[in-house]
Amino acid sequence: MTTTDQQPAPTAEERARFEEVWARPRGWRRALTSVQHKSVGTRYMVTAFVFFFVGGLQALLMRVQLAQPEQQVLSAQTYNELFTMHGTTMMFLFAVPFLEGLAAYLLPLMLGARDMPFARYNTFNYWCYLLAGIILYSSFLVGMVPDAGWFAYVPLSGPEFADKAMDIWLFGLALAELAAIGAAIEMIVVVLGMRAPGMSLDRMPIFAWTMLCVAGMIILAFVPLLVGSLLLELDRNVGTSFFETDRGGDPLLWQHLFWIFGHPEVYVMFLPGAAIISHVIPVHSRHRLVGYPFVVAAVVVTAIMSLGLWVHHMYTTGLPPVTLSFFTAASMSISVASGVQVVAWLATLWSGRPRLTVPMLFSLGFLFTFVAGGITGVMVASAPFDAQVHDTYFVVAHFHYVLIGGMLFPVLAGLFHWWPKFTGRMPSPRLGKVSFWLAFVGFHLTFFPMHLTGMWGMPRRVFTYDAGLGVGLLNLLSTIGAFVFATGLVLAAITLVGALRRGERSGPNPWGADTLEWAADSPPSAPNFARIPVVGSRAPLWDPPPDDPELDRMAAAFDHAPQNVRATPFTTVLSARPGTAAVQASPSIWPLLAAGGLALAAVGLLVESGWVVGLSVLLIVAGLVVWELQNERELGAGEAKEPVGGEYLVEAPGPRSPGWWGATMAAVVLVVAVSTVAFSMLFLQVNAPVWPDGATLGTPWLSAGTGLALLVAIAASWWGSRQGPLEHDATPVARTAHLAAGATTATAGTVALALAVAQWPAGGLDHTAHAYDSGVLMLVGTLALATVLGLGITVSALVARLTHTRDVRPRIMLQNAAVLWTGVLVVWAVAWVATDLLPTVVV
Amino acid sequence: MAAPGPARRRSPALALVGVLLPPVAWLCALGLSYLVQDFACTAYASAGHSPPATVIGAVVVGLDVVLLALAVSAGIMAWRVHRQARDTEPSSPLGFLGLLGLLLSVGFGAGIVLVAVNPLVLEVCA
Repeated sequence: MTTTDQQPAPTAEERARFEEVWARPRGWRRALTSVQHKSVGTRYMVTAFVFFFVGGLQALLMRVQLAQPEQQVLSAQTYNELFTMHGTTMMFLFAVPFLEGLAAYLLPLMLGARDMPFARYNTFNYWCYLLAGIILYSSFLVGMVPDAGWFAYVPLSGPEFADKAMDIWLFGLALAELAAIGAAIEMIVVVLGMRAPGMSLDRMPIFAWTMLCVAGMIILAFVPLLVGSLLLELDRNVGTSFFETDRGGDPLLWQHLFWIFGHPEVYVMFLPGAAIISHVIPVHSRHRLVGYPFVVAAVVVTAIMSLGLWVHHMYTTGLPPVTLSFFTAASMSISVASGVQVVAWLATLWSGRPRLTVPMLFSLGFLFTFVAGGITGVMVASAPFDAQVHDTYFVVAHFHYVLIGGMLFPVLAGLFHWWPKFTGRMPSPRLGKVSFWLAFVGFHLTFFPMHLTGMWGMPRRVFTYDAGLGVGLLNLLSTIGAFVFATGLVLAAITLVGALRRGERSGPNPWGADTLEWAADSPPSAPNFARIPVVGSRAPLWDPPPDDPELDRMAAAFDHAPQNVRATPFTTVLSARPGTAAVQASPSIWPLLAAGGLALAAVGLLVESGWVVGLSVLLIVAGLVVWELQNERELGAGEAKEPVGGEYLVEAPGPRSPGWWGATMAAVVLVVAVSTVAFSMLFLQVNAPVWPDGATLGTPWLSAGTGLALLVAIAASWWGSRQGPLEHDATPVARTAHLAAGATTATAGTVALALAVAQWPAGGLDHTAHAYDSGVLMLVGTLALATVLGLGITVSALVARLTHTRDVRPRIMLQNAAVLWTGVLVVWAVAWVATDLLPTVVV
Repeated sequence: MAAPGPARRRSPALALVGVLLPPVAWLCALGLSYLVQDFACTAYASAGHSPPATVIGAVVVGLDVVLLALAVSAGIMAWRVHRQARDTEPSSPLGFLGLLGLLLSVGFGAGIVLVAVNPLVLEVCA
């Protein structure tokens, strides 16, 4: 890229120091402590593919059982366990984590950054995900395999019908969801703030646009499932009654919460798949993507609309016709947005000079399969048709067409496309093409007949069928197809893994692609870009670099710099103009300790051991404290020298640093969580045949005191965040003010916590008596948890004050605390509305 | 360098409103239509009263009309931002955001219409 004469070229010594700062750990330390996005992304993808093959094996076993009518290869119980774990594995342990791993690997490279914004948190999420998978699969070791389906409908999954296996499922799921939500926060911050100078929103790769939307969907949709899982666990083990009709609960509430998550989940898988196609087709057609603004609009429309379609999974639950029609309308609308993307891909193919490479073949396979799945999607979006085929193999065929066509084929296209970037080696095109044809033919042979078996009346989720149904031959074809499909997938894996040793060297950009990741080495070096690229168009490698001195100045300032700490440019949201320097984390083992503590807590609860739970709490607290101290030490090192290039501050208050975005996202997660509980309470109130007449918590003084204490916490932390100079070379003057602000905030927060918790005994409610009481317990618990998080960030701000000389970092931390405390105040307000206002104003 | 005029300072905010308002309007249209209709009809039924179906239907359609107007207004605003940016700052992302806002307004506006027509043709509390 261009250089300016304002910044001298880095010396050999500076280059060496820069390389040392970014050096990867070696040996066992690399496995346990590496936090770099490529390392974490690779682990995510490899782990997800291991789970994928395990889930695939379960599918093959089921297909063997179904190959002939009335077979006894598997027992009914084993079949139930296998289809439960197959769905759980593919949805929670393969599809979403794989895409998060791909995003963790690719986004910084595509955007011109050096790492994810909170690299240790990114690693923590990975460990949570891995441990979630281990917990789920430990069910096989202890002989308690979940068997209530991946959807875990109540009452089948409730205390009456499911044993400890369901608890294993719920804890594993909760940990996996926690990881997914964390990954979403990472994606939002990296896309909004860490783009290369000049990469304005209109120049962002489609993959980045998509992952931004997907991350928003995860926060809005996955939190309700996390809440739902907690409600179910409370019903199962604490005696609450969210789902028990006799005490004001309703099993349908679980379906609402599950599908509020479950339907967006489909698009969380499909949209990244479509984004991969939006990269593969232009590169392999040697033509820019046609209709970029239309594709971005389609992605946004699809993401938003997917949040409002959950009821179309509940057409047969007895909802009123008008309710169904609302969601039919919404379901039909979303197909238009998907159609816009299909038209854009076809127009790109038509306008370009397509090459029939392996990634292109998988992309064409995607187009054919996904369009077919989309058509059956429009069919089942219609309530009358859905009523006919609900819970038949037609639905199984439909969603496998959408998920395998919409997610797996694009993932394979993406893997063959980016494999040279990941490894520096080209996979064999001949083997790749054979694997594609085996997978493509095998897939359609497996799933097309299921449309017919479903239409002819074969129900899903049954371990065998009667010979008189006349679907034996079609099922045999499906089973043969499944093995052909599996052969294709195994061959694809062999092709990719084999290329690691035997593949030709690829060079940085073997396909002549246009986006920034192809400007990095193959495989990329530890910092990705020693000199940060600048961007002047949507295709930075196809167009000349921009002539913009301001951008060049930032690129030159970060050329092999800084050399005392890992850092990358932080730019403005809209135009990606130069802003500040964001410090990036170095290797650490503490995220593993904290994640291990969480998993141990799950184990402790499962085995009902107070000692294990206590130990887990110690591990979590110790892990978080040492993690925080390490953060502050690194930031101190970053601030100890002058701003990067003499111009770019090492972090700054407000949206100019990652922490502000992290605190904002955490506040949003809390608000979504409490809103989910409030929605659940309202739903139960209007549906329950018996609801306590005019029931309220009835502790107005305690509630008002809590709100007041939270206001004080916000005011104190906000005041503290305004004290002290921001300039790098200014004399620090606000140590006492920051300590006073932090101490006042912590005191107010502690008072708020005490008052919030006191509401429960003061209210005199019994959580086992009625769903209203259970809901109040949940709301008070949510408020208490949010307050504890607020106290946590306040303590961090105090630690920052005690460990930093300058005033900037404590200011930033107090501002982040103020943001999070504002979120806690909203949680309090929503909780009050649900406990005291709604019961009096709703009929 | 001269400071940007008030109109240019407002443009990023207007563009953001143009992009964010249509999706919010659509989500509110679907969510409120569902909440008002389903919850009101169910609540009356649970309490043993006959639900005022006409009133509930009118409220739903009225809400949707207001939200449709908001989505359309956002689209018009976004289109104006797009034109202004195209004429004065062709390299600015505001032009793109304006166009995006217009497209979202069309998409979500059509979605609101599809939701709103249902209470007009179906029995509201059947």
